[in-house]
Amino acid sequence: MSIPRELWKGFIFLDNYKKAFTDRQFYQALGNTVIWVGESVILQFVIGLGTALVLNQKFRGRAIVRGAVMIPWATPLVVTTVLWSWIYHPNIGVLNDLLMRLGVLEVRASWLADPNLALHLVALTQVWTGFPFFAIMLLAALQSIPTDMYEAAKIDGASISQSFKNITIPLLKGQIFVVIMLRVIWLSQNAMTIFLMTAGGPAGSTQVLASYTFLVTLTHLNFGYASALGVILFLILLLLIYIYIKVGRVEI
Amino acid sequence: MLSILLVLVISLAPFMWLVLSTLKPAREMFTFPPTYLPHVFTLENYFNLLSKTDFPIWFKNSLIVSTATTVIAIAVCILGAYGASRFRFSGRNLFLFMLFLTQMFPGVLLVIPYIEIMRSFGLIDTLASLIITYCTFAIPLCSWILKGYFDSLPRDLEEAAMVDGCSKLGALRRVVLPLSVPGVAATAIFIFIQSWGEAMFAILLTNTSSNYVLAIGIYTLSVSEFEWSWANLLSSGVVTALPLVFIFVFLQKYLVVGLTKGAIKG
Repeated sequence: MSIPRELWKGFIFLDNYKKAFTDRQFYQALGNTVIWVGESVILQFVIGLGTALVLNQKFRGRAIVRGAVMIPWATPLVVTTVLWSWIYHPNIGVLNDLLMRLGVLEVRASWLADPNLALHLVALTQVWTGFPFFAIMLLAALQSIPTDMYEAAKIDGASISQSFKNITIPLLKGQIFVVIMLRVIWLSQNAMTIFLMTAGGPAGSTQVLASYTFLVTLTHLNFGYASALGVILFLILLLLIYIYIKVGRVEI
Repeated sequence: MLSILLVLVISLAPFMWLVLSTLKPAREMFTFPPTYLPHVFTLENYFNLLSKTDFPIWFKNSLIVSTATTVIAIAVCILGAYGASRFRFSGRNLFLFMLFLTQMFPGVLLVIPYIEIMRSFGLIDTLASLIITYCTFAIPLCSWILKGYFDSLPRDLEEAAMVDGCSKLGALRRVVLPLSVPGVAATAIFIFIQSWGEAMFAILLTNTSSNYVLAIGIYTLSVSEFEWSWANLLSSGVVTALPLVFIFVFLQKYLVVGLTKGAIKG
């Protein structure tokens, strides 16, 4: 950094890292990251797989449905966060209205202001944004399985779930792993979804490591500490990437 | 089938709700329980957006930044990816590994160095800083994708052209490029989409409204305390999303083919 000579106080070496390890918000962000990434990826995978299975069948208008499925992925993140903040709006939001009509809620709830619920709701938004990626990738994988295998299995008397379990899953395992790891890596460094929806609030319950780093940069202007946090995040990511390369046997 | 309907509802309903909300007059927007279909159809929100906010400037800025990034990145990447694909040179493996690694770098970590660099060049709060920044992300990614794409093209045609007296660059121009239009187009679209929606660097690198891109404009509106700005917020969201939705829905066939042909290995 271009610091004037008079202000230079010397290296503080690992002080920023020590600060991180004694920062309660850092640990909170770490825990939230695991919960948020885990929930989002699992749900995206499940819904994406379901969507891929639906899209794998031939029916009229399939291209239209496939186009429609891309919309959550296509919408810019700023717009998605605005949209879902609008849906979650405590006074005029659709979520409250639907739940009240279904009889689940009696009074309008303040979703993003609730420290216990906010993280899961942001995860839900992330799931909506991200499931098309899984759907398209898994669809491509599904379509690479030759149909003869299913026909042979049917001749041998296998049920749908049996052929799914014994043909689909084993053949797709490698690609599933690659797609999931990729998504985990991307989500771990995604600061914007959280930042744009809740800025880490309320009370840090939605803060993840990436958004915490961003917040420290933007509002505290503590570039040193933010850099330390960023490096810690990067080291975690390196570990994930290592697993991705080794276990997924990805060629570079 | 029920599952098809479910997929359609999950994908479309939220976005439809966004669009429908913007077609209501402000007073109807803020009623509870919300009216799902507008009782009064109006385009006043869009008129306000275009005349009373800085939205047109933001749109123009986004267009400039995204187009410039795409053009520059594609021009650079075609040469780089072709070189990486067709030639063996010392340091090639390191080069490819770096291409791979730079995509895994957390953007958050890069934000601070970029601010410093832009500040020392005097480029803070200009569109040029955004273009340069986005190019630094687009180029490794595109080189990676395009290299994979070029790898999948057989070399016979280029070799035939070179036997006939074509230079290497000529072979690239006359033989390979026409064949790789899907891949290049898909990559260009991909870069455009990424630049259009990018918010993190734009927030930190620009701070006057006339230099904002759409992403920042929307963010600024969203943190404003006034309730009525929801009308502007939602409508600007629709207009920002529409080009991308259009591209994705109608051009997705090319995108998927172009990207997955070279991108996924193993």
